[in-house]
Amino acid sequence: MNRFRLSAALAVVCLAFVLPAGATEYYVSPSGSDAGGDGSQGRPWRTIQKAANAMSAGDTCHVIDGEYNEMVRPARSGAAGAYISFVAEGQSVYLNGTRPITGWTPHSGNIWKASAGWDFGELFVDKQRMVLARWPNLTSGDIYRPNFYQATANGGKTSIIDSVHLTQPGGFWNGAKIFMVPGWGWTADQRDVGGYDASSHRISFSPAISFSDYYDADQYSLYFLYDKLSLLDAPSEWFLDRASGTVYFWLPDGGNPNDHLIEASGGSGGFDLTDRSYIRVAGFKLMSGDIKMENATGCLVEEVRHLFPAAGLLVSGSDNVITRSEIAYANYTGVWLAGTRNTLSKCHVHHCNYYGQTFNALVVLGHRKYWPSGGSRNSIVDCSLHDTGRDGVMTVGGQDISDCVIEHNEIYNAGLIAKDLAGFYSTTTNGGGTVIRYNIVHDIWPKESPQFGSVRLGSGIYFDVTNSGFAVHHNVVYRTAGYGIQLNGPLTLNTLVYNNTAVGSGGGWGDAIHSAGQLGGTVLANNLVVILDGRKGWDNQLGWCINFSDDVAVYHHNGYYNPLTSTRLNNKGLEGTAVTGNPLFTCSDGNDFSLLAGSPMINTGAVIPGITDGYVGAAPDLGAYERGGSKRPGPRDKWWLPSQILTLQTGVGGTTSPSPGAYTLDQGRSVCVAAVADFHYRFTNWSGDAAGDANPVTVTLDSNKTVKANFQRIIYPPANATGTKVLNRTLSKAEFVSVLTWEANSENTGLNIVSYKIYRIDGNARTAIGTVAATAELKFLHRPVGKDATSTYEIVAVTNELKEGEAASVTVR
Amino acid sequence: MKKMFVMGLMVVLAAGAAFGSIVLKATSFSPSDADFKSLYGGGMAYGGELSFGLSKSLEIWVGASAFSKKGKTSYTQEETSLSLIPLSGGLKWRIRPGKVVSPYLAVGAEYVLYKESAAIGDVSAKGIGFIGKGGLLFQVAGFLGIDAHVAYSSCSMKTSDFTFNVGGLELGAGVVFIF
Repeated sequence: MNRFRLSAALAVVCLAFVLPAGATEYYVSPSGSDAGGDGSQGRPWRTIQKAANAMSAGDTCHVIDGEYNEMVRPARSGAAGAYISFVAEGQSVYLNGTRPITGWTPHSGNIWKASAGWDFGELFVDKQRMVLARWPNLTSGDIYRPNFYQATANGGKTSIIDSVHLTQPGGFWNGAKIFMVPGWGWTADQRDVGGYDASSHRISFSPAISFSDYYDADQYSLYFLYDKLSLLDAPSEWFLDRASGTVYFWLPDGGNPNDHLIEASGGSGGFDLTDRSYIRVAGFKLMSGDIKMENATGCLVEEVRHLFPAAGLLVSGSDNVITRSEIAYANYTGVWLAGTRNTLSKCHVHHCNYYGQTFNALVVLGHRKYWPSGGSRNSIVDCSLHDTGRDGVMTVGGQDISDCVIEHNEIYNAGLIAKDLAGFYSTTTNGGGTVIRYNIVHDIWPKESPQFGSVRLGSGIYFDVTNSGFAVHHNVVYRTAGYGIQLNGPLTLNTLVYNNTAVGSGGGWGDAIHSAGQLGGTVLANNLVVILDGRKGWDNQLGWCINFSDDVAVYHHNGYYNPLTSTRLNNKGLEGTAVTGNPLFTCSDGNDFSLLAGSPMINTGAVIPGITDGYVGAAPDLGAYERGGSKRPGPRDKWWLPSQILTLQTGVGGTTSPSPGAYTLDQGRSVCVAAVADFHYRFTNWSGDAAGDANPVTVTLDSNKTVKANFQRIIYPPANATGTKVLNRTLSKAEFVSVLTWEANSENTGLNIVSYKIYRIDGNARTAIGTVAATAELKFLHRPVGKDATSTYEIVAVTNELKEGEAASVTVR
Repeated sequence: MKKMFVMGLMVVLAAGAAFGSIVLKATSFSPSDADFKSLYGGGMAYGGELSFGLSKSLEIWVGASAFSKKGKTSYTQEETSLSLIPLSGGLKWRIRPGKVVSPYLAVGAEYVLYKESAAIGDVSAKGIGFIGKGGLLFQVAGFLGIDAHVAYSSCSMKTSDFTFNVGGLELGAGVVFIF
């Protein structure tokens, strides 16, 4: 107790020095009162806004666990070094943009109804999003992976035709809405159904598609229909009749909605930091609300769970930081990062752009309203960015950016709705020195594009038409349906592509690095380009490691490996400094593309100042991993993932890589563990939470796991084992005898070899036929054998523990 | 075979032979077959012979002997045993009949009973061959003499594995009872 009092006193003293003079602590609680409280801990206010009105630079508002429905607008700004802080005290401080819906009454069957006096687009049950009633129904449970029907004929810009599924009576679809991925699938869109002609199986929609013919609702278009009460036919589905203000709903468990917290979007909640400076927001959970940070300066948002954002998080102004936060389930973009020196770090941004629209992504650098500037010196660092309808990270076409940094992120599962996209996508953008480095981009796998022979147009890093001024280095790209890194035409200028590990699938268009169009000033060097998957590509061949389909960039010191066909390395010829051969990845099955000792890619790169600084050895390695170096691609902190402990153990005779011990790692992480046997030992199998004898093995940490590598002392085969067939006779009778002889193997010194066991091999059968004591003459006769028969034997040493060693095989003819 | 021998003897006796003898002999047998030599080498054989004079110089004779020996298999050196029983008969021509020293020459046929036992298997066989021999009879008393002879025989045997010869050279001596 005394120690506690001392610590508390010290903390107070420290706070006194840290906090500006006059800093005030305010308290807000669901049990508080704006009218009767004074903002103290004992008499808290009810609303955060009440505190926000009172706060000045250096003040802190402590918000106690509970539900808040308000858009907080600080009355004034903080100052450099003196934030106005809003801090959630507890794990369940909800700041909602939702409104509750109560008073549910039965409608029909499991469907209930209630009155909602506002328009909304999301319905939540106990904080979980429900599904807008649709046809076909959602079977995956994930609205970012919807079910579609495919059109059967070209309906042009105003209709969709499906003679297979659109067989309902005339007028059936009137009043519904259609969600479609029309034509070439570059974007998805929604339209109102204007009419339905049953005879031609045609749904007319409006407004008409206004883009080029590529976007026409042709026979390859995908669609589903929604926003009609008759489509509410499954659990979790809901429908809002906007005319009457009635919402209909079928609970997931078929129960009574009055027993649950039912909320809908359409309210106003969150923080409005527009034009404010030095505001800190920490620890809140936002349901369907907004954090508005336009023209903000020096604001800090940390450890915020911003779920189902109403409009996405737009950050402009300068020097704002969003860190250790989750932004998820946005209909369109999760975060727009415009302005100057704004940072998105250690964030978990996922499940965005459900509508699959172009110029929307998990994170967008820039925003159209700030044209022509997309921002300068903004950073996306250590973020995990995944599951999106179109691109993962992108620039806004037509906007230039400068000196931005996208580093140590993991980007995956892009292209869930639309097609022809990437983990990182840029078009018509001058990067102005923007650096994309140390990222891991993978699983970019959109739907097939029948127009291109059913290939899937998804690349890892994609510069699509007229880009320049980017540096792309030390990125790892794998499992992309299209190209790993794509430098598309007509212009990809002055782009530096260094030290990337691009693992192409060989499928789709399949090249690890593909380049087209004019490439003035573009350089490809020190890249490790590999084809591993083996699917046939666009031209029904396997992909190229590097494929220059038009102009040829400057390229040197690249590493190539295509075990599927050694002829498809670089279609313009290998450079003199090229390195070919198996790169010896640590664990390609586990997506660990670091290099093992002995890799030909080690120390064979070019020294590139600013890129390869700090390399280990005589020269930089090729690819994204410098063996022995400290920097590895990918996020360095996934704070939102619970930690799991991986315990590596070994039996006698070897070790593991990583070394035996306990590792605290992010939940869900896959770790590649290799067993390394000592001299005279052999790896036999894994035990614990891994099994089998595959080496290395990939362990996925969905829970704490212990993995043990087991080794076996190698019992070497007998030395100089030979066999001859001899005649053994009397005067009148003969027999033939296989005479096997061998010697003790000196490599078995230290083992207690007590005997040798002899097996006869007959096809797949292995039959023991005798034993010879180790102290006896090392000779065995197998009799009788056929005069013309060929016999095969195996001789093994046997230890005092009755362990049998490796066999020496002897064939006697 | 024994029956045939007795019948032959009866025939000779019925013919009114004027001279007869019985020899009990021991011979040193040296096989001519190289494998035989290798596996068993030579050895002593023991037997007897009965002769009847068909005329003053010509006799008919029958004999039997036994040879047994232990040996080893060629590679494994396991013990084997061999026994031979040659039954022979033929004509003998005495060059100086009635003298104290009476040389003779004889030819005849041999019927050999063969048996070999070994770990790799037992074999019994029979074979017919020939025998030729020459010797001397020392008549030391009226009814008693000593025989010394040398003989060569050849008898081929065929088994499932080998064909071999069980004949060879014999040097023998015996006691002759003359009647």
